Amino acid sequence: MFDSVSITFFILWVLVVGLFSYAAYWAFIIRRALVSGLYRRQALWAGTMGLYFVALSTFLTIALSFNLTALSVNILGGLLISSGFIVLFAWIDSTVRVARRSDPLLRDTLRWSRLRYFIGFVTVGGAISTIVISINMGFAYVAPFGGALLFGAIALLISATRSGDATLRRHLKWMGLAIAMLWLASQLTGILFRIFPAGSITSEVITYSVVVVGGFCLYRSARSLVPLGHMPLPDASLA
Amino acid sequence: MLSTGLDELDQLLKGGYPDKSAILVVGPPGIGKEALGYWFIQNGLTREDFCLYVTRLAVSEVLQDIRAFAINGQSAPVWFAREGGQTKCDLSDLPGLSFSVKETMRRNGERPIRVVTDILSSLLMLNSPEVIYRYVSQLLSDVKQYNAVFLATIEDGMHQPQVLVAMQQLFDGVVELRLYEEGLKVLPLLRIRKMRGMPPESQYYNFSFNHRKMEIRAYVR
Repeated sequence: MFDSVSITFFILWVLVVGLFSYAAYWAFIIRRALVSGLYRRQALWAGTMGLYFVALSTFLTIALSFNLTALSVNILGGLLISSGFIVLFAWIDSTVRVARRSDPLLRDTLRWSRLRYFIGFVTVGGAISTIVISINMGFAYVAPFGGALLFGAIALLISATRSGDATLRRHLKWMGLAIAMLWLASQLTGILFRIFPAGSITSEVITYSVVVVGGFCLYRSARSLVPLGHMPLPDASLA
Repeated sequence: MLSTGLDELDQLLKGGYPDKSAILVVGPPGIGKEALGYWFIQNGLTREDFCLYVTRLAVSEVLQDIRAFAINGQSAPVWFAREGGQTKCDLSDLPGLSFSVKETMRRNGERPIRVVTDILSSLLMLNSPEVIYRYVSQLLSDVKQYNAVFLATIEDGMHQPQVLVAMQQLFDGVVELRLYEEGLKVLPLLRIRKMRGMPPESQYYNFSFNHRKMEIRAYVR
């Protein structure tokens, strides 16, 4: 039968999956209503990010709960984590480009139009090395997406201060918090591993709680892609 | 009346935008408000009206957007743009911009004139709202001396609501494109908030861009 650790894992997983799925749902539904390619792309990547974390948390929950360490699991884990580098980069890249469009002076933050090729190259390199490490040592030893997050977060912060767009600022604030929480969760895994014994329920509850907060922030970020109104008077809208 | 370039919108407006009018299209980024400008210009070019597009972007960026709407961009308007236009659009030189617009219109005043611009939101972010109210008010009164329709777009959600409301007062017509949340759905809705010569309307319309045109139908909750 399942022990208390597995049940706790499962409950936390349901919570994480629910939040990230809901975030992805809103991003995709907003995307459908938009016309401009630039903004549709931003919504697409925000939604893909949500789906990505659904897949990643599902994989990690299953693999860690059942202590799966086979080569096929490591390859799958490596592919999954490495695709995270690409999705994260695409998400940040699309948002920086939207932020440029809303800057009245159309400034090229950190010369992003050129820097993106370098960051993209580093991201692909990171993704490949992730797969290699995962196959050789196991997916649990893969370094989190620190570098990509750091550069992206700086570019986004500068873009946000330049845009003067209230909606974009709100979106970037929630997005920044989501990224910070996910980064924190990825760092906590390694730190807590040294403090608590392997498979400790406390360690997992702390890590998953941070991911849950990250999921909530991503949901708020997706909802704030564009201002959404509510119909003011029911009779005013009747045909 | 000058046709909007979209049959459905012309029907809604009983023929098109009123002569010698200033129209404001309000909507969040990405919803397609610039498309109303593209079709308006495109329609003007086919009728050999004088068409002026004043944009904060480069001409290549606008053309890329136009192509996404599958609009035939063979004939081109006169461009005031950041790059690639006949005249450079310098948002920090308000008097110069105003002079260039008026001078261009004066030289082409014998034809119906269509002016489309996307610079309002940028101007509001670079200057105090009071400065821009005065500037736009003066510009619109100058433009109306000609047989011209001036169509401007402004971003919803970028400015304080009171700034947006005050700006709407300056225009003869306001077309709102907004996203409304209804349960778990997001609906793009259009409303003619006001239009010179038309009674105030509270009706909302669903709209979508399909097969190279805008489809509009009455919204029923």
